[in-house]
Amino acid sequence: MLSVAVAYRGQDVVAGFSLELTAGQAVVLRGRNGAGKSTLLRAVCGVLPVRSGTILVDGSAADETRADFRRTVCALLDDAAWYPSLTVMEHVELVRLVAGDPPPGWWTPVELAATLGLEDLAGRSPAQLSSGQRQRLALAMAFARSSRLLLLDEPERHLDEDGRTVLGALLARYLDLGGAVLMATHDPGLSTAGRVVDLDRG
Amino acid sequence: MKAAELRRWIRVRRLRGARGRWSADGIYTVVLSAAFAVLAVATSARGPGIALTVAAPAGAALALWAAATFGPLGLSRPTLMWVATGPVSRRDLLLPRLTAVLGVGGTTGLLTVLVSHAPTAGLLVLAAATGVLLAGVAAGIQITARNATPILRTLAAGSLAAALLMPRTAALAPGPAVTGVVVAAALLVVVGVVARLDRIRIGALSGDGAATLINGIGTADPGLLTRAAEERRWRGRTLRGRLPARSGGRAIVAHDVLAYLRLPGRVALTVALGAVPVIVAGPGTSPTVLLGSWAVAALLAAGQTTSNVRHDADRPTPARLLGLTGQHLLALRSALPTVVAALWSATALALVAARTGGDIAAALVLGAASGPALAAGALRSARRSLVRHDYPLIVTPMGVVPSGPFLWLAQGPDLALLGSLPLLIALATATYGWLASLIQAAMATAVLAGFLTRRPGAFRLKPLLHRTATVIWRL
Repeated sequence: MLSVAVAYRGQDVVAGFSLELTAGQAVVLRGRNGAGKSTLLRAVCGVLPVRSGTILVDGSAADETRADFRRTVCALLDDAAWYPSLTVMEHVELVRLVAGDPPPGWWTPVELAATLGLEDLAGRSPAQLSSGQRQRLALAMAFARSSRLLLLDEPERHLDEDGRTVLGALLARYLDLGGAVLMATHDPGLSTAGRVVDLDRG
Repeated sequence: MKAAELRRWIRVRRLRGARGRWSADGIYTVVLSAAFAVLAVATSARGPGIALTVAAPAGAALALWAAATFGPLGLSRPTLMWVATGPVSRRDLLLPRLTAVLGVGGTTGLLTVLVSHAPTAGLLVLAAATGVLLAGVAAGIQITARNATPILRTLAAGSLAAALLMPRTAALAPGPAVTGVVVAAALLVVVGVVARLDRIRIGALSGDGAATLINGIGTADPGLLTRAAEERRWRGRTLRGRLPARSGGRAIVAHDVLAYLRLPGRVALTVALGAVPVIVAGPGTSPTVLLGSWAVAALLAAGQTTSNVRHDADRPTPARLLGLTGQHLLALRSALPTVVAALWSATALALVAARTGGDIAAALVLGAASGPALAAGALRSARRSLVRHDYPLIVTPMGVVPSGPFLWLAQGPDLALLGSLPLLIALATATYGWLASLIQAAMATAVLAGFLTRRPGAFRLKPLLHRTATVIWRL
């Protein structure tokens, strides 16, 4: 990212922001509510256009309408990452089936479900889960396929202490597998996952 | 604080935000609409009519089913959450709702008589009183019974069974004594319900159906109702079967098939809708009626397969996690609607041709060829966002038409009708040819391909119409 400026609803939220992120690295965005963390993540995801500057992912401009960009970047930016017509386990399986086999060392769907404590909920509908359990499901889907950049917006939301610890472990293994992480969080524990960048009104 | 004062305060706040809504144009439109509705009912009453012995239990079944689904007494979610739980009289709070429910009951009774054989004054009084009595009983069950919904559903099923078993005769002429007894019973029930209204539990008012309906009416948004109904349909359902292990894009198609089969009611509705044009087609049916019934039934049938499309349009997160672009995902999701629409259209058109003496083989091919166009219409309908109420009003000699809901309704049918033009011409003229099938296949494929490959923002009809309407409005 080089001198990036992003506006949200007509107002400049991020201005003159530069950052380089390489494989195996994590950057944690911190800041008060309204500091521009989510806006920046949406710009990197290609949802929000940049007013000026450049965002390159693997050498190409961020554009979520490009198939190779969508394969490269996995983004969990908000809630509601589930279909009412699928069971918990089928969600994780669907992601894996669509994306194909990942590189060696990647989690299997069963392993992810076990790690995130979803084993006993495998046959249930997400509509019957609590908010924390749904967030665990969303994280299972995010780690179910291989990607090179993981964008997470407050992934700790709704999670209990155990869930946050598991998330930290998943992120560490993702980085070991060669992925890069850009994450906004208010959780001090997760902030240790990588380089911290404090945002203050962009 | 008294409930009446609270209601007045809320009403004043609402009206302040919508000052000028009840203009002369608005009142004129409402009066004109009501006049048309009365005219339509009166016209239907002059037709062959339905036997009262069938219409009465059928009307009761409909009213009881609606009561079971929507309450019958209900409050909007904000009122339920913030007002009903406060120290206000629930009787005062619910009295307007009860009045509305009793009014709907009475009107349903009147309509039941109007759509059956020629009504008499005595019959109208009896029908209205029976409607009020039924509505009162339903409200009473809601107030007193803990399992009101199953009781009301059982009563509705019983009424429906009675409607099916009753003899098709109109010889029903109850005397004044019967009418008097029913009117007295209705009055007693209403008094009893009003007296016990304060004892209603909050749990009995928190039915999702009532809140959804009230919110849907409040926002004048059928899209909101559709989405809420979709959520209700899935909630608490046991998900049978398993996702087949198909790799790549075929996994998305497998997901669509699974979602379709997991709601057997949808499959049954798709099949049942095939009978609509076949029943309508017959000697003496006007082409307009046949085309209208065809279009509505075809779009509804294809629409039964697009719940995942609606979900994807509302929530982009799953697509991001799947690693697919919105356009790619939509293209994969178009497979099931195309196949179902082609099968439905081929079967229905072949049956229509068989009934009207047309070429069945040619009709079968022509119907199948229209599948992609119907699928395009269903996909576009499923992707509609909420109704825009900020679009300008269109003033016509018949009254004021809000362009937002009109544009919302037109999205989907526009593509389906455009792409099915050869089929519609063939249906209207009852001539099914092979050349028409070829043209139909080309047109339907072009419409679907155009819809799936369009670049977002390249050409948007809605803003264009909005701008045009704004210019006309300013003129």
